[in-house]
Parts: sequence; structure tokens; C-alpha cells
Amino acid sequence: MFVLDEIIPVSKDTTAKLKVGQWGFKKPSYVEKISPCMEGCPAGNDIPEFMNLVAQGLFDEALREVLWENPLPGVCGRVCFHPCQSNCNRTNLDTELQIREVERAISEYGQWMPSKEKKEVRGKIAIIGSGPAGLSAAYFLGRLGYEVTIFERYPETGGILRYGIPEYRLPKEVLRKELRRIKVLGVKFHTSFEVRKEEIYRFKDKFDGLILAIGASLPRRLNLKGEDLEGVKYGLFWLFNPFGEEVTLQKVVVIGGGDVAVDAARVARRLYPEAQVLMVAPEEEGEFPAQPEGLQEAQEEGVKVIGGFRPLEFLGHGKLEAIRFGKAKVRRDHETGAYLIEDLKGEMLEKAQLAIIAIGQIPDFTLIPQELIEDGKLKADPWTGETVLEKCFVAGDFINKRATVVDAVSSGKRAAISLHCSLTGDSPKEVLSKIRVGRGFAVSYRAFVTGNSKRLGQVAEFSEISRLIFAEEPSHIPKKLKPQVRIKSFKEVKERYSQKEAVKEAQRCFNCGKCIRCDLCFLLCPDLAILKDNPYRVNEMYCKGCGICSAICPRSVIELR
Amino acid sequence: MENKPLKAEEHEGLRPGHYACPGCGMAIAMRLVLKAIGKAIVVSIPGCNAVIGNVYPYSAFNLPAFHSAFEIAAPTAAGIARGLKLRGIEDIPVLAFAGDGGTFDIGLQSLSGAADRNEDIIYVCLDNEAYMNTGIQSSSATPPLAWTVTTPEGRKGHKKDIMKIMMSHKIPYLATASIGFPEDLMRKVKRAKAIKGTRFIYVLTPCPTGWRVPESLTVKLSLLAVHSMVLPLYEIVEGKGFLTVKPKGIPVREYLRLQGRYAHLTEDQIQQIQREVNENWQSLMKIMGDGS
Amino acid sequence: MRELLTGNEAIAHAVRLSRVQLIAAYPITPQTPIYEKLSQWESEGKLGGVMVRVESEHTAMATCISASLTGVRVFTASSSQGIALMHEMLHFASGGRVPVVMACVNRALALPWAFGSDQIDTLSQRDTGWIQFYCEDNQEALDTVIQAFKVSERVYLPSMVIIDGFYTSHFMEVVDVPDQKEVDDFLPPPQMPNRFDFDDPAFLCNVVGPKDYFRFRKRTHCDLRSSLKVIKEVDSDFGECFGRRYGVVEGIEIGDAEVVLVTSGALTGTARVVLQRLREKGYKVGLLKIKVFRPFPREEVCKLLEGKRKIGVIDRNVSPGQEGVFCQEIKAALYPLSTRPLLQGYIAGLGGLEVYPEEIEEIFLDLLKRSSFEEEPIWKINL
Repeated sequence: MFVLDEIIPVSKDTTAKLKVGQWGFKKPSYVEKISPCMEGCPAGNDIPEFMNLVAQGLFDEALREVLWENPLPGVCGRVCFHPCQSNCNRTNLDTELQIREVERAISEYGQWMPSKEKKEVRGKIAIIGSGPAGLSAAYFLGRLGYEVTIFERYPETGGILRYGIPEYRLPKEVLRKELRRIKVLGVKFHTSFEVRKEEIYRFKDKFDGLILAIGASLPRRLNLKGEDLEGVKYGLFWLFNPFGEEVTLQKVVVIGGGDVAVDAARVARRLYPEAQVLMVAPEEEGEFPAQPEGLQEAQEEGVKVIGGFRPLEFLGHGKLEAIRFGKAKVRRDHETGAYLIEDLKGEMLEKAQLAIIAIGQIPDFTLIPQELIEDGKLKADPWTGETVLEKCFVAGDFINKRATVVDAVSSGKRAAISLHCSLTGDSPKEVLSKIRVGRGFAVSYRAFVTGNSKRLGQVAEFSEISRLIFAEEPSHIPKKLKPQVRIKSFKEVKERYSQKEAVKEAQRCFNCGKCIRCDLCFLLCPDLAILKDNPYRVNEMYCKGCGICSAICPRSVIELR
Repeated sequence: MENKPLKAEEHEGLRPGHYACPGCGMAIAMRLVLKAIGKAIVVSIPGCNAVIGNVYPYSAFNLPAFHSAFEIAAPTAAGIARGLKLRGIEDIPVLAFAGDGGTFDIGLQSLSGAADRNEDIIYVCLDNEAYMNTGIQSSSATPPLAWTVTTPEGRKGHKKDIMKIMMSHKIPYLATASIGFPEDLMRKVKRAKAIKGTRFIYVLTPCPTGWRVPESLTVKLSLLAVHSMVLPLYEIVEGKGFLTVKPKGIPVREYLRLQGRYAHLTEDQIQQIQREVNENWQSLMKIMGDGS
Repeated sequence: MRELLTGNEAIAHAVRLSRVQLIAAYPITPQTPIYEKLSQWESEGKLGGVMVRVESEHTAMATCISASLTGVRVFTASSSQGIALMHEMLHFASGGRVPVVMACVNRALALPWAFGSDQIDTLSQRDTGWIQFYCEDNQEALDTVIQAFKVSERVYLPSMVIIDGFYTSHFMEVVDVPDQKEVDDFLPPPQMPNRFDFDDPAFLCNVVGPKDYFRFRKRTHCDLRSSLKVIKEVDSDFGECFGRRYGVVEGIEIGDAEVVLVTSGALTGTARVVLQRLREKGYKVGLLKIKVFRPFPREEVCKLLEGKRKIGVIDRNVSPGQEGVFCQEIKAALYPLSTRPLLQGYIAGLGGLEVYPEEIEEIFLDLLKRSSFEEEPIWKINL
């Protein structure tokens, strides 16, 4: 009998002994980054991460993920103006991801309750205002282990969330659910409780820290003739209590082009089915500052939208009878960036019995100590919320330039962390800059707690290869009620995603900058040099530095160095 | 491809430490095929695929393999398959790797003979579109107008349509595959494994060295080849054909302009190539069914 | 059982009796009746093995070699152009150390085209590392095929069993076809390993460096040389079982011969008759039949031819530019002798040309009266 390997070549030695990695100098590294949507989100939501969880049907885990950065997903999932979506890299392929709708689905289907990071009580904090900023600050301070008390001057909590945004956009039931999550952290609420200016001075008697989140509680006035006539109301405040005298109206005119104006118009539409409802603003129709979706819904519901006019005078005897408008144009001052209204030739007269002026809100500085104000402006750092008063911080519309819910949540979070820093002897500015998400306003609470902020520095650009890897599949948009049905009630207009639809939409997410273990790099390495680890590891003994992994990663996570 | 984590299996038929050029498309293809085939006997022939298999006393195959001659990948595999059956071993597939030279040119006769006899083998053609191992000489698989060392002004003639040739043998399974779609490739290998008779799988394996592209672009080129309809991905099972990936319909110039071997093309020549791609696509669609 | 068979049929019987498991073949004159007979038996269920009707001889050998790697018994047959076409594969078989047995029916190689018997097709393959048996008649062909399987499977080297085209392949003779049981006792089922092992997987026959190539080649050469011993043993065993033995060479009336003629193949049969005649006339002539050409039986040839004054070699082939191949090999084998005989080469019967007894007699007589040898072979052609 012959021994086979003596008479023919029998090669049994494994090539795994051969160090072919010496052929090349470049080696890949896994460098996670943030996504453009994450950078755009003022709350700093880790969108790629929670999308990945929803894509696997893990709604509870996704909710837990969202709650690291934003305590109000049910609210934001309905009303947010979604700056995240505008940055979505997927628009390079087909349509942007419906991040807001998925966030709503997470809040609907996920079950998870937050808890304190530390059991021992760190201190007592007072927060004035239970709007989104106050709630956000209370939530994060509560998680950090503080005993928080919120003082709210209105009978019910929520601020703008309850009183300013109508039921058809944000049902009160949803707000209740969000509040439960904050209450579970031990946050106490005192409603119908107006804190006087003098007490603010002496907050240190009872509390270790104070956050003023009193919102922008005064309406901006036009200061026109006849503005004090009966029947002339101010947007947000009319929304707080929309029922005036039971007069049969023929026409309601809403002045302004923002979201509050749109809501006022749509509420009026519902309350006064026989009346004509008009919305007039100086901007061109396509340039209204309101969210385009809301504006479109208003028009579907029968609100007539007129752009390019500004009010000149309110006419009437004791009661409003008509409004005189002048043609106008809005342009942006190149130097200051401010919007200026230019008057043009031409006029329009609208007979109306109810005028709702919704041109913005301003903070009420009479509510706070003088020391905090200088030259008619709040003397505070808009980034950290620090004021001249020690351990006193501000948050929300009170300080923010951009008056949105998510910006309020963001500033509440920053104020909370800054306040915590001031109590632990750290510099708020330093700490916040370490946990900053990209180049925007957002900071990451999770990075603050875990100390892991490596990823936050770089933003993942759109990876061209995604155009080739992913098939085109535009978003499915949830259905809305028919306009005729909508105006008959305050029922929520937009449906939510079913679980299946939410999962499907989340699967469209590229997860830019985040490794979701798609295994593409692992499978496509010609030299089997990528090993599964956490998430992957490069075996430099075999890696020839070809860079296929870096070129193929649709999330721009792999860098060849 | 869906944006879901792939269930990558752990089994590997190819070992690291092989001598493929950095960025070699063929190495990726061989790895994926061997991953999907599981337990099998491998036939390797002269060409890049044997270099990857490595020299005595090393082997890059985690499986028993045999280095046969250039033009006989198919009958070698057939002989082994028949021998196994005569010894009562029924369930081990025999896989033959061959390049474009060993399939389109010198090996065409023996491949045709094996297909005619419906030999029970899985034949995988790894096409890098020239005789790359011996230094980039043109073969009948070199596409028109491509530069090679022996066709410096661009190849004259057409790329031989190997799929049509194999289709005419009426074998039970044929498929085209691409490393840009690893899941699709592995599924096809698995499907082939379950069928008896001659199974022919064609994989386009870009070669950075011979196509004159940076090493990192191998998979991107594969994706472009599919989406520009240069490489339609389909299966033909018992004579019924259907697409397995819907191409996006990218203009072929997007695929050509990345390759150094096409750097000399004039606008007219690019149009000519686009026309031919369109014609081939139309011709293919006539035999594709719908559904899968 | 004694039957009237052609040489091709005899070979076919031997293949059947040897329980060959896989036969891959391609038709070529004058081999086709072997292929046809085996196919007929396969369709009648009388053949134990599987026929693979391939599309070329090169593929036939490729298929045989690769099947043999799994340890099954394989066979093929060819002639002329077919053997030339599979040349690459013949090296493969010997280097791959697979015990393939091939029946070669000698036929002239083109160009020019001719169909008759000429040994050039098999002799062109003398460097391929195959054992080569040249058979004289139909009985020997049958017996040698059976022996070849036993030899090859012991030494792991392929063998050719060679007969003359038409003269042996197509002429009928009485052949003793052994019983299946007798053959089974002599030639048990193959004991060869399946070289594809999953427990300890190997890449077989991949590229080697010069040092290893040198080593493997030397091993092949040495094993081919030592297979001569095995051939003799098997022949001897065969003799005991079946009552017929052939030896690696056969000397006829060499003992006191002054002049010996060396022949091979069917020509030997004619030469025997001539020898008889000349001996009756009183000439001291002898005949040496070369049966095993590779490995060349140097020792046996030297022993038999030492001391002989004159040797003639009839070649039914020519290696253009040199001389007949058998002549060349005999010269090389006799080179070490201290006294070398006068050696004259004769070329006869190329392309199947008839070699009449008269011509062989002429050759003997020419040899007898020769005092010197010519460097160029003498070309015998009847006009």
C-alpha cells in the first residue's frame, strides 16, 4: 500500500499560517459617527439606533432609546417640525424617512418606564412652568436623582402642549401618558400656583436649584388702530380658551402665517362651521413659516389662505366689523438676517367679526427679578441656560430664539445638566461641549451618564454606495381623516403607523454612522480579515488593506487608515 | 437588497492567508460560494482560482480539492462525482471552479460535453473577463472595446454569450450572480445544491489589477454592472427564466468611467456599448418569465 | 470457454471480466468495436460498470483519471489521433499516480492520414510514465488486460495494453475466455482509497516548487522501474491460475543463435513462422519478442542478447530524424555491454503495410550476411 502524500502532492497545511496582512499598510477602523438627522434634532435623539430597534420590531427597546434624550416622544411624534427629516440622507435615493411618524409609533407601541440613575436624593430642585421645557428639565433632573417640584400657574399641566396645541393634533390623552412617565420619577406638580417674583429671589431657602421655564407668555401686538376692539384676539391666548361670545359669525380672519395661526384657523373652522375662515399673512403663500403639512391640511379643511397682505387698521364701533389690509412683501435683510415687511401699493378690505392676531409670542419679563434682565433682553446664556443668579437657570421659549417644542425639550435638558454641573462643581460649558451632538444645539444625556461621547464628534456623510445597495422604496405615509370628517370634530387627524408599517419604514433607514451589524463588511472581505466581535474586529494578519469594506459600508462607519 | 442584518453563517470553505491580489473579486466569490455549499469536493484549475487555492504544501480550501488541467474542470468534476456514486457516496456535491478562459475558450468543449451528458456537477464560472493570471491577455469573455495587454486598442468582437450557449444544452439549472449581491449568490448556490444534473453558475468577478481600478472598488463595480444591465441577475430552472434582482437602469457609462481599461473610449464608443447592452437586455427579456 | 473472437472483442471480454466500474471512451477506428461491444453489454445489463460516452479522447482520459481518484476501477481505449489528443492527460495520469488501464489499438498518426497499424501512436507516449505492454495476439490481449489491472493497482501507475490495428483488433482467433469466478479469484475488487478525505482535507496535486517536483518525478521513475518486478510476479501468478504466462520478453531459440531478430506486436507471429522455417534449413537464428516496453526490461534484454554477434530490430514505426524506437531502446539497453553486437535497424510495415514472411526471411538473411551495420535503418517495403 502506498502512502499517498509520498507519491503525489497532498497539501494539508492551512494558508491561515501565512501573514498576507504584511502586503498592505492601510488597515480599516470602525469609527462610528452621528447621522445628519441626529445633528438636526435639537433633542439629540439617536435616530439610527432607535430606527434599528424598530426595524427589528423591538418597540420597547426603541422607546427606552428615545427616552434617553427626549421624554416626550408622543408629543414630538405628532407636532414636531422634524428638522431631522430635512437632513435625511435617504432623500438622495428616494424620499426622506418619516422619522416623526416612527417616533409616534414608538410612543404608541413601546412599553418602558424610566427610572432614576441613582437612588439617593441629590438635592431639591424647583421648576417654574410645566410646558415642554419645564417637563424636560424635570425629567432629566429626576433621572439624575433630584427631588423635583414643578410650579404651574394654570389649573392643568403641560403649558402650550395642553392649551396651545389643539386636540386634533395632540390629544390630551397622549399628554397624560407622557406626564405619567415624568411622574414616575417622583416629580411633584403644584398647579394653579403662581410663584411671585419675590419668592424667586428666596428660592434658595427651600431649594438647591431653580429653573425658569415660563415660556413666551405675552402676545406680540400689531399696535394698530382699533386693535382694542371687541372681537380682536391674540392667537395662542384665544387657543387657550377659544370660546368667546356665542355670536353667529360670518367671517373669521386669522392674521399671521405660523403654526399658531394655522391652528387658530383650523380651530375656528371647527367651532364656526357656517363662517368663512381666512388666514392672511404678509409672506407669499409658499413662504409661510408654518409647517407645510399643517397649512395644507388647513386649506383642505376650507381655510382660505391669502398671502402678501398685512393689516393696517381694525374697523368697527366697539365691536370688530372689518379689517383693512395693505399689499406687502417680506424680504430678508442681508446683514441682520431679520425679516422686514415692505409695503406695496394696493389694499383689501375684509369684513370680519373675529380677528385672531397670531404673529408670535414674547416672554413676560415682569414675572422675574430685574437682575436677570438687561437692555430689555434676558441676561442668560442660551446654550447653558445660566443666568446672573447663582443656581438659577432658564429654559424653553423664555430664552430660545426658535420657539418650537423640540427646542424647548432641548434647552430643558441643557438647563438640567448645567444645573447639575453647578451643584457638583463642574463647568456647565465644558461638560455640555463634551456631550454636544454634532454642531447644533443638541446634547446627549446618555453620553453624559455613560461618559461615552466618542461618536458625537463626526457626522456621517451620505455614502454614494447606498444608491446602489438599496432598492428604491418611497415612504408609506399614514392616512389622514377626510377633510369633511375632520372639521366636524377635534378627532386626531393623522392616523398612526401600524406596527408592521412602522417596522417597514424603520427598515428604510440607512442608520448613517452607526454599525447595525449588517455583516456586509464581514461577508465581502476577500481575505476573511473581518471577524465578528462588538461589532467587528480586523485581523491585521490577513488584512491586505484593499479598502473594500470601507467602500461598501452604506453607513460610512469604516475608515481606512 | 433589504436593509436588514444578513444572517451570515459561520461556516467558511475558504481560509484566510491566500494569495489573491488585494481587493480580488474572485476571492470574494469563491468565499461566498464555498460558504453556501457546505460539504463538497472542489475542483480547481490553472488561473487565479488555483493561485488562491495556493501552492504545496498549503491549501486555502477547508475542503478536499484537486488541481486539474486548464480545459477540463467539468469532466474532472464529473469523473469524481461518478466515482463517488459508484462507491455508494450519494450526497456530496462536486464543485468545479473555472475562469473565463477555462469556460469560454479552452474549456468550452469539455463543458459542453459534460452539460450534454447532464453530469451531476456544479460548475461555477468566475469571470474576470481576460486571462488575468498570466498577465491580462484577452479571452472571448473580454467585453468589446476593453483594453488588455493583447488588445491594447480595445477588443474587437463581442463577448461570447456563455449563458445562451449553456441554455441551449437544456441543463436543469443556470444562474448569473454577482458579488455585489452576496445573499442572492449564496441562495443560488444553495438552490443549485438541491438539484441533480449539470448546474451552471456564472459570476462576474471584477479584477482591480486587470480592469485598472483601485482595489476598493471591486464590489461597487459589481453593483454597477448589475444596475446598468451589463450583468442581469437571473435564474433558469428547468427552462423557465426569471430575474432575481431588478436593475435600476443606470447608464452604462457610470460603470465604464470607473475602469482604466475603458479610459480610451470615445463618446461614440460609449454609445455603442450602451446600444449593445440594451440589445442584450431586450433579447434576454424575451426569455424571462414573470414572478419567481 | 473457447470462443472465436477478434482482438477487440477479446479486450472487451477482459474489461467485463475485470469488473471495471467506469469506462469513458470515444470512438476511433480501429478501436470502435471495443466501445460498441461494451455499450451493447451495458444496455443488456451484462456489463457491471458505467459507460460515459464522452465528446473527445482528452475528456475520456480526464474522466478516467478523476474517477480513479475516488478509488474506482477505470478503463478506456483509443488509437492514433485519440491517443495523441490525450497526450497531456497521459502525463497527468502517471504524475497523478492513478491506475488507469487503456487499450491502445495501434494506428498510424496523421499527417498523412492512414488507418493501418503503426506503433508510432503509442511509442510517441513513451515518456509519459505509462507501463506499456505490446501484445502479439488476441489471447495475449485478453490476458494482458486482466493482468494490467492487477499490476497498475499495485504500483499506482497507469498501463497501456497495445495491439496492432486490424491485424490483431479485427482478425478472429480462438480465444480462451476465462470464467468470471476464475478472474475474480485472480483479480479481487479494487482496494484503492478515496483520496478525498473530509476529516483531514487536502488540496491534491497543487503547484509544487522545483525541489518537490524533482522529488516526485524521481519517485515516479523509480516506481516505474520497480514495477517490472511486480509485472513478473503478476504474470507468474496468472500463469499458475490460467496456465498461460508471457514474461516481460520472450526469447525463441536464442540459446545457440548467432543472429537474433527483435520484434514486437503481431509481427512477432509472422516472425515465429519464418524462424521455424529457417531453423529447419539449418540457420542459427533466434527471435526476441519485446512484450513490456515500459519499463524497458534492460536486464532481461542484456542477458538474452549478450554474446550474440548480430542483432536486428524490426520497427513498425519510425521516430523521424533518428530511427525506429525499439532499435533505439535496444541500443541503449546494450550500451553497458563490454562487447557490443552488430545492431541493425529495419523499418517495416508502416501505416499497416503488410509484412510478408518472405520479407522477414530477407531480413534474417540480410542480417546473417552482414559484416557491418548501417547507421540509417533499412527500409523494407514490398513493391
